[in-house]
Amino acid sequence: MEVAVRAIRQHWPQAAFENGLTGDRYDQFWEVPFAEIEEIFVYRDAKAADAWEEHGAIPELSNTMVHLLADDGTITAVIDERDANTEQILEAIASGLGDPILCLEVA
Amino acid sequence: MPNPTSLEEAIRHSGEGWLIDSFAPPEEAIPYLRQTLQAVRAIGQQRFEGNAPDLSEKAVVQEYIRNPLRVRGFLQSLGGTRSTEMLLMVWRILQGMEVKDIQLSYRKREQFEVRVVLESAYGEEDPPYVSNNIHDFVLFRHIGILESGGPIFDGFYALRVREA
Repeated sequence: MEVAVRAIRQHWPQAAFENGLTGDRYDQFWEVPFAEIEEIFVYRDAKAADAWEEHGAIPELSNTMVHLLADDGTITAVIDERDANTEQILEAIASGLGDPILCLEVA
Repeated sequence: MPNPTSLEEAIRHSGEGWLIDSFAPPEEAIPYLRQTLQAVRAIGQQRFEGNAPDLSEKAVVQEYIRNPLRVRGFLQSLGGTRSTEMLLMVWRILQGMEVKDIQLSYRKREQFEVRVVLESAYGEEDPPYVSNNIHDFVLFRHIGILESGGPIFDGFYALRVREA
């Protein structure tokens, strides 16, 4: 999950985060307790997170949040709609998760 | 979720017990690691003063409880380098600092230098982290790689160590 979140941060460096199950909010990356996270909302920034909390899924907030779900070794990313920016984010996630360091074993 | 209450418990829970058991003598491992953490903490305080990361034993154990995989990478680094400056760099990457620049200079039998610049999400740079110890190259095996609009080093990950 951390790899995917870091990949999103490449495009949204000031991203804010919310535990998808508990609703706990984290405005700084280092605050995120990844060991406890099965679902996470990654918002473009704190302002977008505030707006989602206030208004929910309104058209004006389209593509300002990525919903990540971890399950049995897979990561699912949910976005509003595909556009150039979200394509780049999804490609970054796929690239990061393809890093051999994450699966190679060393003696 | 893990629930260690000491550095030794965190190390053993993480599967990095070799840090203790391969130390000679093993009973001196924890005092040595505590000293190393204190030295890293001191460098952090020199560099960042009031904003220095908390690298007390208690803080490391608490962070291990919150992010065991992340801290496992740091624990592996404790066994991989004696450079307190580079250990501080590792901790800063774990905190979310990004790798902005790496300059590596090597000439067989003559020279090794690695110089790393980290920056925050807000573009603030740490003073460069520099090492002339070739063994510190091992740390770079842990850095994550991705491509997104160009090459990116990001993140610091534990290696999956095969059980002997």
